Amino acid sequence: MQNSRKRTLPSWLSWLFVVIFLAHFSAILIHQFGKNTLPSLIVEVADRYASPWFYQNYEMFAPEPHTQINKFVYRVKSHGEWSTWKDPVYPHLQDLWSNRFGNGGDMYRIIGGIADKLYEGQHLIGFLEAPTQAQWFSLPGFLVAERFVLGQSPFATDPSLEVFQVGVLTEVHRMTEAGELRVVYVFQAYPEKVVEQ
Amino acid sequence: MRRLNDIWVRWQRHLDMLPVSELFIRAIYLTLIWSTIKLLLIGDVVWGEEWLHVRYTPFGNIDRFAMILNEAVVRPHYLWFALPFLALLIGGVIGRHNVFTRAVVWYLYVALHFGNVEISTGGHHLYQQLLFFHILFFRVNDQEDGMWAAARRMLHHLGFYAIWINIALLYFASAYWKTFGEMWFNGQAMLMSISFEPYSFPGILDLLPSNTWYLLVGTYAVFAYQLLFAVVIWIKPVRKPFLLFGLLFHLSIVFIVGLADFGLFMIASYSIFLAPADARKLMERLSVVRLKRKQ
Repeated sequence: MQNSRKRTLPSWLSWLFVVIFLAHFSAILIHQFGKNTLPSLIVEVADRYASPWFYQNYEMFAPEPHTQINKFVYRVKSHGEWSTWKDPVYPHLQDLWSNRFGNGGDMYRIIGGIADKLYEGQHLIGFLEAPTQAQWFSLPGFLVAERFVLGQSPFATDPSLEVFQVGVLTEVHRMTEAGELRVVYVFQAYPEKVVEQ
Repeated sequence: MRRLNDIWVRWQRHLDMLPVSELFIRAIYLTLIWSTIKLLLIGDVVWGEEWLHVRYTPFGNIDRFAMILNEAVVRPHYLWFALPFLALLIGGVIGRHNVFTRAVVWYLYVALHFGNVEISTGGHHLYQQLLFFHILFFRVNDQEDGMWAAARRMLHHLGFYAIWINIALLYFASAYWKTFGEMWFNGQAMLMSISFEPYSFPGILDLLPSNTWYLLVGTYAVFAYQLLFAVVIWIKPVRKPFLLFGLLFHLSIVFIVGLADFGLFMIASYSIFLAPADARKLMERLSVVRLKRKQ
């Protein structure tokens, strides 16, 4: 497979390619690791180069693996009665357990994303002294949760749907000093919202 | 200096790794075909009008094209992205690809990937880079000479090693960020990771209420593998057994943790590290299978 007489590029051109190659990876390295060590101007230039086409986030299970997960739950009021709290992600989780190569995991992560946004919303709203209903209902997580309840949940087509409420159930894991794993659940509900007919 | 120049010239004329790049294209395209088909089954939610995630459009100018599937007006037409992508991947698997199709594959992948960031993993980020560099995988045969052939050879080789470097970067970055935590040092990281049912199986907490010796060893082994990858991968005699450990690690991510995309993307990307002779044998076997089916 070798032919020693084959032509090669002029030296200047081959080195130009190498310089471009090195410049690319230098920018990517600065984008990855430069944040706390290099001047902000250099990091900004590197970030501008890397995002979005060469954006890469490799903080996988780092600096720690996740110690909590959020679950999106909701309930609805119909004919004057509240349903139990519904967990829309569980059927997808069952899919994931039964088939590692299906799309159960993808649906789990998509609906799980709603839970994370609801959780972030609870933090954001905590900074307001007296949040109004309008502020609660304009949070990005709430808007997506509302899309799900009114558009894709089993109650979406129920004409007698009066009120709905969404919430986020957080499962927190901690290791005790004795090396045992402990689990705590924290539930945070959003205000009830009347369905406009 | 002259010796260095000789090595540099020889490296540019080298053609040994061509079967490796062809095999690499097939391996990553196969995983992408699987991933795209399973996502197409829920395509309306992933890329279409039934979206259930916070859409993200922070960019302007040409960068908007990377996030184009976040635009409400574009989402109803997501099949115009997903189906050509799938067709080009299938073409690539049977050897029908060129610099234009590879560039389009990269762009469509970027658009589809950013079209729903909720299902993105480190493997998706890596593929975005690998698919960019695979655009440079020009085919140059042994008979071709001249400036254009020399340029294509040079670009191929740079793309080839850029992929090595980018995979090494993934592991190094992942290990580097872990050094800022505690659980990767005290050996609890693996137990904590799989203690959540969505990242393992139901009832796992009843089986593993505290750390075990094998989870402790697993934690340190994975941490060490990621930390050492960027160096060890260049040492030929240990490359194979080292990658074998990585293969087992990523299979466990597929079957235990349940992140099949990430695990399979990483395993497929390992094909770039195969020895040229092994890659040639595999490619020959694949073409024999194809020929037999044709007969």
